[in-house]
Amino acid sequence: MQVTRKELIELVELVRVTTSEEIDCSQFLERAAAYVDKTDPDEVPDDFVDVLQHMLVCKECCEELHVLRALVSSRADECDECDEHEHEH
Amino acid sequence: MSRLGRRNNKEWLAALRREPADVIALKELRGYLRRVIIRGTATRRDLRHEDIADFTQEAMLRVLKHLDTFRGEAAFRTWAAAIAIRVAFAELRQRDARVNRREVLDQLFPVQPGKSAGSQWQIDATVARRELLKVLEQAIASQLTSRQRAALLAEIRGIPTREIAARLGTNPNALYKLIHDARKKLKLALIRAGVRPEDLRDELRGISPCK
Repeated sequence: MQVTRKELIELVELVRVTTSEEIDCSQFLERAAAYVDKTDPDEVPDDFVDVLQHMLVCKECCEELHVLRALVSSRADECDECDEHEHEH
Repeated sequence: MSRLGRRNNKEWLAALRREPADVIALKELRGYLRRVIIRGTATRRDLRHEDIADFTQEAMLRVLKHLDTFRGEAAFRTWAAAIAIRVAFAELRQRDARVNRREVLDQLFPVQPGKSAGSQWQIDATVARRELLKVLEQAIASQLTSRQRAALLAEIRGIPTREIAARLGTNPNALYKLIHDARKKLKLALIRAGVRPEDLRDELRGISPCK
């Protein structure tokens, strides 16, 4: 299999941030809501180092967390009335 | 403000665990999950009305199934939203994978007899002749299993976790462990050889792709 320089850089970066103990995607999901509710986007509290480390190695969980934070911070999830006017998909 | 905002966590759990079912609470939860999915996937123009209904139903089932795992560290609505987003995004990624990634998957995980998954990586000659990279190349070849090589490369190439796991006949958490073990082996091999990953990364970044 041909591997490009860009892919190697990504691999080395993944190896660099690897730690001996990591949480998996299910454990991340259990912690994600608490992380969003209890921290600001730029904060790195000790309690959530495992969450932040997982985000460095898992693009999927990282993407989902950004969507969750955007929803919660904009309160876009809270308005019942908006449901009535929701555009049809 | 919605009732979701007004109920506290304890009230939510009590309402959702009630026998017979609290129909109003279930309806509110369904409406909330639907809104989360619609807004969380707002950039997806290929989403159909049936998709929203399917994702909402699946999210609803998962939230109710996992109520006992809710530890109260977050607001109930945030916890439920995280589950809904996981459901919707996992489905959408898998759909993309089926459409766009078939060829890459077939290459990484051949189905023909006699061909094993993740045969040796071929690193571009311009890159591979660098001393530091020889260490990495050797570690990849000697430390990783063929499944680990294929899974790592599939992940780097953006194949969704569920799709890779399905090809390997495993589940996402087991796949995570397989890849985590591979990363740890490579890190250990580099450290033993006296190579710092950051030096290797800088060296790679410094190589002109035009050479």
